[in-house]
Amino acid sequence: MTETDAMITSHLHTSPHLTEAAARRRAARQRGELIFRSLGLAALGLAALFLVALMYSVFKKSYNGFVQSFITLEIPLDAEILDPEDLAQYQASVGITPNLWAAEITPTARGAKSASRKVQRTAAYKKMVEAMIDQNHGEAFTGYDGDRARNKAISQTAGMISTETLLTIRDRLVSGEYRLGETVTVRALAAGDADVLFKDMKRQTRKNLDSENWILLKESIDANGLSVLTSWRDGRLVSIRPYLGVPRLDLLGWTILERQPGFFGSASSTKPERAGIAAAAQGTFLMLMVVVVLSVPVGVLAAVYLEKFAPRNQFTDFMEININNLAAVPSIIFGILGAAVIIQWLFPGSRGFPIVGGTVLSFMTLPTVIIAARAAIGAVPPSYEQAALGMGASRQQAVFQHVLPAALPGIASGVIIGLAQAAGETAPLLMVGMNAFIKDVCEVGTGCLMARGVGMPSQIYQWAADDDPLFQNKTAAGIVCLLALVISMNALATFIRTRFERSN
Amino acid sequence: MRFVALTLAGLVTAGAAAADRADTVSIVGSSTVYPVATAVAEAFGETTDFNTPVIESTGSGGGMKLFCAGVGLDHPDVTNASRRQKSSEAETCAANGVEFTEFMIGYDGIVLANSKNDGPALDMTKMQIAMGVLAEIPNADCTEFTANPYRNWSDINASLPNRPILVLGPPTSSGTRDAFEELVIHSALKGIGCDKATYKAAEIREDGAYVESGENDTLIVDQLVKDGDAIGAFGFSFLQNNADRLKGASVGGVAPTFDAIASGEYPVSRSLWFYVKNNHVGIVPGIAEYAEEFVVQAAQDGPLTEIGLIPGGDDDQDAMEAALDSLF
Repeated sequence: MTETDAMITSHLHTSPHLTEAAARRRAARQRGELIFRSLGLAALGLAALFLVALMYSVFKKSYNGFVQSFITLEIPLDAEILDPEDLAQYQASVGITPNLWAAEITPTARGAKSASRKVQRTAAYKKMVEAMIDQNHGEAFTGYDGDRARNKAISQTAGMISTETLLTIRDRLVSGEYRLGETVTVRALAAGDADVLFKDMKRQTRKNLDSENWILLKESIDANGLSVLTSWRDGRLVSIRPYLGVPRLDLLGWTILERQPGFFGSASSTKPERAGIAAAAQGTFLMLMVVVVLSVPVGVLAAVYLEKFAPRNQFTDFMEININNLAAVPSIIFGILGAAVIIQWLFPGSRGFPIVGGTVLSFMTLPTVIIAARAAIGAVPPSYEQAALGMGASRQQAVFQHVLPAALPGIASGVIIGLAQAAGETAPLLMVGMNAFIKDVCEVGTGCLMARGVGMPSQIYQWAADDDPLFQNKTAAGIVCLLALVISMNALATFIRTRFERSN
Repeated sequence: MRFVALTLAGLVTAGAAAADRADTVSIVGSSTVYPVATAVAEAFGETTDFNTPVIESTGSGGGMKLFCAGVGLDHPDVTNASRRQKSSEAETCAANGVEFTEFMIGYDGIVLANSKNDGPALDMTKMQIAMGVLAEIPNADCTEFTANPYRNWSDINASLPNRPILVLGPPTSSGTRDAFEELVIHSALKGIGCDKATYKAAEIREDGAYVESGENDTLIVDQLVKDGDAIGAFGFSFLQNNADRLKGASVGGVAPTFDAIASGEYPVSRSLWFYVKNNHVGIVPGIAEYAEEFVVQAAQDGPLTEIGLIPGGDDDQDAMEAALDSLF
């Protein structure tokens, strides 16, 4: 409190003007301030609460999105199921020295086609798993109405092994690593449905270690004729799920389930247990490269020109207003621009290319970069430039050799924040077709910029819209990845700004 | 500056580089067929030497527009649809020189469903559903329309539950809405003798009894579970996937089951299609083989039926086989 303040206060306290009405007004003012402060605190608390709730729900769900479950199985590669001649013929056709049987084979064109189909399709490998289940656990499949129903039940149990594993068996047979007739030990990826049930059981097992028969799964038809899977535990009904095809899951040895991280290595899939973020991350990375290449040079040079060289007249004022307005244009407008101008008019056939997505995101980022760069350049003390000019430098030399380097940290943090914004943008991607089903990660060096791609936000959007509830975990995992990317970019921007600006 | 020039140059060549896509089948179209088509495409890519086709969900109408826009690698090879091609679309295709083969791959039922725990059991006729959701309802011989006075289902017919009318249905943009209007409302109005212009002009009420609920069906389920009065309208696969929380309403006494839809007994089902561009067969490798894979998978009780596709009868299978033969 300054001396004057003190005098006023003491004056007020002793003053005959301190009437009761004035005291009331003061109390009211103080009450008002107290209410305002507590409202502010409450608002902050509420925001924090929402944030925590959001984070909790996303992170909780995401755990299952980041991991895959495996079961170790011994599978006899039955030569009765896949004809050794077919395998040998297919091996020969793909340039692999076939197994022993090959000597007696004289491939015909028609025979070769049928052989390659038999080898390539997954049906044979699924049959091998079914045969294994029948052989080892056949006695469990009793009470079925005829062989057909029994075989279906076995086939559904075999369906708990992901297609991915069947394909692995195929590829190893073809490459010669496995041989028909031998029994191999395979770490099999559990299908998404099995994954969920395994998890349920595992949780219960921990609580209830000595009772292994606490769960009973039963397939039945409900009142609407829909096939449902019902689980009872200790005689109590615990859940009814739509039919997922596991009459006897325990037969696959659920006690030796292993969980491993697995989300970054694969692209999207229609099977939740196989879906991963790789293709989407690649797409987002490529687009950000395009954004950097397009918007940084253009944006920074435009900012330098506007801030240091442009004459102040109506035209530059007009440009300035427009740039500020552009920064506030909804991103979908840029998407429509991309779809109408780039895809329909300039380069038909470029739908869904990361280079187009990146270009559209650059339009969006450009105003942010220009505004941030102008602010950073404007914040450099005029003495830098004046000193350079005083030493005889030209204006261009003064700006590019002295002002711009000093402004770089500010520019860099502005650019990174612009990039983080672009990384999280969904609407423009949907408009330019970057939300297709992409099964394969583009091989680096094969023109990935100009091949159909997908971005992380649109991949999340696809998963979120999927009917299959198991994709909700993948959605949450995707969101966590995107959040991590955006937060680390923002942190980098803050770091650059605080660290380097001070050292200047 | 050189970077900018390089990138611009890259962009300029993007058009030319579209030729890169010549070895991957490009598919657009219906969001209803999308899950089925992606499952087929995934299996196709993994069990043949061809690339996995790229599929974009654009809606039936959007897909047809892209598909019929022309011939050449700038345009998609296949489009999916949750309805048959319209004559106006056929004209566009013809005008642009697009020749195509159509495949009817099976059916998708549209079901009304409500909460398993809190909702009443429902059995309605198409007309009763229409009376519930129309903005203006016709008199018995379709000569006059009056504003819809019904607030509760029991107002329409005493046999229906005494619960407020609240239908969460698809928005105008979706193929499910087209099918709902066509299969329920148009069909009901036709039944009482309305002419085509009249039933096509019939509108769905906007006074809160019919709530357009976006294409994200997960939201609808949450709403239905929360509110026992609410009834949702969506594709059969969705009921199948959420059978633990929702129950299907019978229409005309027939419950929405797999068998009832496949046999055509359940009255509210629609056919699903895909169209192959003949001009591209033999140019983009794998188109005919993809169609073959689709036909083979659609005919059997397998992964596709788990997603909700209901295979057609023997005649439909024969038609598919014939269409397939014409491609090879």
